[in-house]
Amino acid sequence: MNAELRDRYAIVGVGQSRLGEVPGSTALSLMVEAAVSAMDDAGLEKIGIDGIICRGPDDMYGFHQQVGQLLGLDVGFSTTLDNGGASQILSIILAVSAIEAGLCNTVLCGYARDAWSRTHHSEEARMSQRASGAAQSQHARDSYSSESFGLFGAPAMHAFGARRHMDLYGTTKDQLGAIAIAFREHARRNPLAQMHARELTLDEYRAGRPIVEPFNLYDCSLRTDAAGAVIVTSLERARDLRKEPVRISGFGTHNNTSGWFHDENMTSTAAIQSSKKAYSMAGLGPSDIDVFEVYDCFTYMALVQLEDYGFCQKGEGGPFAESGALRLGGALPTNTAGGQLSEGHAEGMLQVVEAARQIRHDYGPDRQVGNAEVAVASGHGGNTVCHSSLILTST
Amino acid sequence: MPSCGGERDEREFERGLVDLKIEDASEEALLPPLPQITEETRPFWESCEKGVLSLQRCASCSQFRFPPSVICPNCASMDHSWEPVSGLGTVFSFVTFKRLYHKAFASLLPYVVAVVELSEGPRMVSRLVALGEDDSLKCGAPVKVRFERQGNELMLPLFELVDAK
Repeated sequence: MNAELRDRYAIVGVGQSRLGEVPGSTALSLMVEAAVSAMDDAGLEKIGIDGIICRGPDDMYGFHQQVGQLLGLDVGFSTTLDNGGASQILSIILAVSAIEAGLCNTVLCGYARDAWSRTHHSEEARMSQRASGAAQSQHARDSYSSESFGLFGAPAMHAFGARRHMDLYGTTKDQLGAIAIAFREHARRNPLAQMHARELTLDEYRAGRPIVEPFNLYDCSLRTDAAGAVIVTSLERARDLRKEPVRISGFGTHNNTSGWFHDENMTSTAAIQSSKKAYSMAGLGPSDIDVFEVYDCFTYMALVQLEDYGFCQKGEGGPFAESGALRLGGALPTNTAGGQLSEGHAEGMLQVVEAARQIRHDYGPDRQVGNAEVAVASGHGGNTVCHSSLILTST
Repeated sequence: MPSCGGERDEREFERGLVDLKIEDASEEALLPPLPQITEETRPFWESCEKGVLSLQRCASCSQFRFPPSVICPNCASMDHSWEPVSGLGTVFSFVTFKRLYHKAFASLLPYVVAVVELSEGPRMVSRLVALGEDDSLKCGAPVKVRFERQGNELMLPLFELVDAK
């Protein structure tokens, strides 16, 4: 399909803001922090940026405009995306498309949220946030109110998938726990991770406070203040910059717009079609992947993607996770910075940042995947109906 | 649009600040959020008033659909009728709420919300009632509709196990 774009574009800089609980921060301030950090990483002055594709909290209108204003930039192309957690990889796909179309040359892609801060400056803010979170859970507000039946929140929607997977394939709670624990071990090696200081054992996981069964506390991602940013440009331009470019070898998207409850979408997700497109563009397959940076809003969503990206057979995600494959040193080191379950939830942007860093071999031996030449990052949103995939390789 | 966002804050949970205070729930006449009735959904809720579950059926391809919509997702016809359905189905998937999101559900905790696949095909979210102490519920369990009025307001189509005592 789009194989002619393979390896023609690159990520030339990555950055992130302070992460976790950053009292008093705002999504905008964090976004600027991450953007500046990515520009420094690339060795680029702001003047080199002529595209902005950013996403902030969903209740902020024109986030990209505000980011551009703060950075003092006029650009050839900019927009904010609205595909939930699929938006962040989509921003990179769109950046490539916009450069290819001649609209701009070098694009700042970013995501920021102040999910912790905005719920902690007052009790009133907390309740208001809760109510708006609950309101989001309506499957179709104008036609049928799921809230009338007590269905609230993202955990429940995803837990439907986990329950069905358990009943269809015999997936167990301990297998979900293996994912939470593997990512926590990675966060323990990442001093910036929100859960860096907290060990998680299987016993602690099992005793986790029930939220919406089959999910407990440790199956759910974190409430985080964070921003991540990457800079995308052509491979040609990339060669003049400070860091070794990370090649964009493949990408794909798919949207099960028919809905989460339709067909078997909750146990065979849009990651299947999205990853196929990315593999096809890159000319690579699951066995070529050295590092997996997976969108883990909930443990189960990481598990099902192990299957949907082809790392194991459908239904085998549980045993695969339990085998230790996901740990650093395992067959498929996954979420090597801790993921959204333990590093911090930045809607998949930090997955992209980490994938690029692993490909550049930025880390010492405690965190670096030794042979990392090919990394996959994933993102999904809209309650896991829309998906985006990114394959990065070393030059 | 439902989010895939982070929900968890361990310190909040530990402090017990997240959950609403249970004692508030004893206040009278606490109703769950009720649906906004629109021109598309009115026939559905009017049928519920009579204790009958009705769905839209496409006049062109005969497929039942839910939630209510102006267009058939199968054949794109905009002609339809409303027809009573059996009220029978199976549990496609289910979750058990252990955490309170709305005071109206405080006395029900823990409660089970299911995606029910109706015999006629469409899937709908509902709450399962009369489950008793039995925790052996599995996907695929047969269920039937059971209407319950919410306060003095509308009748909600809830579901119970077919073999419920």
